[in-house]
Amino acid sequence: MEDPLSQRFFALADPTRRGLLARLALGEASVAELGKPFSMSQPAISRHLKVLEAAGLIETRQVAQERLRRLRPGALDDVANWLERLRNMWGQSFDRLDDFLRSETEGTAD
Amino acid sequence: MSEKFEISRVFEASRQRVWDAWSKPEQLGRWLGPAGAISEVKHFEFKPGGFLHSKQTGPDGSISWGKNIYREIDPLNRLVWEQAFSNEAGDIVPAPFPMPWPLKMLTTVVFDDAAGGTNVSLTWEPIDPTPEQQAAFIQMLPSLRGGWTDSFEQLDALLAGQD
Repeated sequence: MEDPLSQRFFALADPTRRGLLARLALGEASVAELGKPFSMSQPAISRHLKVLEAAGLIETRQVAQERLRRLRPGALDDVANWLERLRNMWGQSFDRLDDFLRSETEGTAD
Repeated sequence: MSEKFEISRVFEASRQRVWDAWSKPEQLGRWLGPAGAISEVKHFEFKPGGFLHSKQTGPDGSISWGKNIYREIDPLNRLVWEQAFSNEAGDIVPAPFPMPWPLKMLTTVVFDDAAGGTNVSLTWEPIDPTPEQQAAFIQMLPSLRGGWTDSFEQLDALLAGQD
């Protein structure tokens, strides 16, 4: 469990932790916000967050009385790329379809 | 759950031309996928139970395979398929990223006449998701809808190491 890659895989192997990361991919959040979708106590959520932090996937920022968690820059580049691709899947496909239809003159589309 | 991703647009083209763009593989490959992606259609069988198997190369050079299994084909009106990630051999595989994502998405496309052209409405929803996958999909819906652009700009900034 010492090397970072194993730690990362261990951290990602748990569904709750993957759910927490999915939420953090949308923006930083407090433990209370992060715990909302799960039927789990705040200490249990905190334990999961500790594993994610130890794996270098997230980090903590103190803002006034609140400790906010966020994704660690670069830790999930591949995941972020995929979220971006999913997000753009249909909107950009429709843009490209529009261009495609405009580029084809009647009768040559076949 | 009735939570779905929905998108619609009016294209300035006849129903037939728009339908062709969705039903002819050489046309599909020219526009399907996000900006900068290159789609190559490897197999195409346009009938219920038939499937589209395609390779997509992302702007970053990453390669992924997808499989769309057609459920309903009602020419010029309606198209329904199950959409999944796959491997090169065409087997359905989980999403190639370590996040909860449904194995299959139901994609329904409805074509209608509209002033100035053809309206295309598309809905996207998970098929038999686990509770975890459903929760992740619902969390992602606002960003899929583009309503949370700020969150993603924030994420971009975070990943770029800015604040």
